[in-house]
Amino acid sequence: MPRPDHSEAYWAAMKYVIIALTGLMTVALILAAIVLFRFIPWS
Amino acid sequence: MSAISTVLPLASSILSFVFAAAVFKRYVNRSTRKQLLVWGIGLVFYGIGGACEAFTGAFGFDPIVLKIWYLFGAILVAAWLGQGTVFLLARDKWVRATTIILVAASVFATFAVISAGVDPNYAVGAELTGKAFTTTWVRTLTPFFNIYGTVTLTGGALYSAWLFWRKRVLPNRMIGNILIATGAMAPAFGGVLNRFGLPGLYIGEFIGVFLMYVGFLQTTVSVVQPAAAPAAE
Repeated sequence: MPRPDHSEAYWAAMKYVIIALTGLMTVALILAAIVLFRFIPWS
Repeated sequence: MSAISTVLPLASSILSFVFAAAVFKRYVNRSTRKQLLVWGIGLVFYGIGGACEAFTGAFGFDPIVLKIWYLFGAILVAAWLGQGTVFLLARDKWVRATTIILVAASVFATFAVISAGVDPNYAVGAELTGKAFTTTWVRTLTPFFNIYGTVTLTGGALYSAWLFWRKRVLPNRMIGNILIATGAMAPAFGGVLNRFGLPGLYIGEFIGVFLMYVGFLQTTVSVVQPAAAPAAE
């Protein structure tokens, strides 16, 4: 079970994890948009 | 029949239904939390999709199974899981509006998939694919639902994780939301790779539901909290 009293280094690392996942989500959305445009006849 | 095409989706399906049962049980105990009901519905869709994949892997291609899989496993699942997060985080007017749109779009998608033509002789490989549809426009629906599902489910989980990070409270819920966001993206990447002819959907789905379940368990554990109250589940 995680403890609530983590170090500053832990919280600093978690910030970059969240930012990295947000970046990954953006990539996923861009790929999904590319797939969408491949299916639209006028694109 | 191979482990990838049968056992893996079967494991995903069983895990999804177990996960759904845990979420529904929590909803029964806390019926004001409607997000649990919607997440549970999404997880049932996830389980149906996995069951169809396992069926195809074990017994071969069937057009009806393809349609059930495509509707629940490819079109609806991400959007309904994401709608649960909308129920958790969004204001009531947005919840109402998006729910009406999602239900209407889901009904439309249901009729579209039911009426779509399928090539009965399509040689489906190791993984089910929408390429077997002869009515190709029905596949255009999928990215709309999946983009909405990614934004709401992954974005919502990351937003919740960020709230806990900012307040330095409940690290278990922060980690849980990070796992949910990661798990939510796994099938999305798998699905996109599948569209480009690469394998990975079934593996992505299993990793996805596994991580989301672990994340859910993380968010629901009791932690002695000395600081302020949380902002989101």
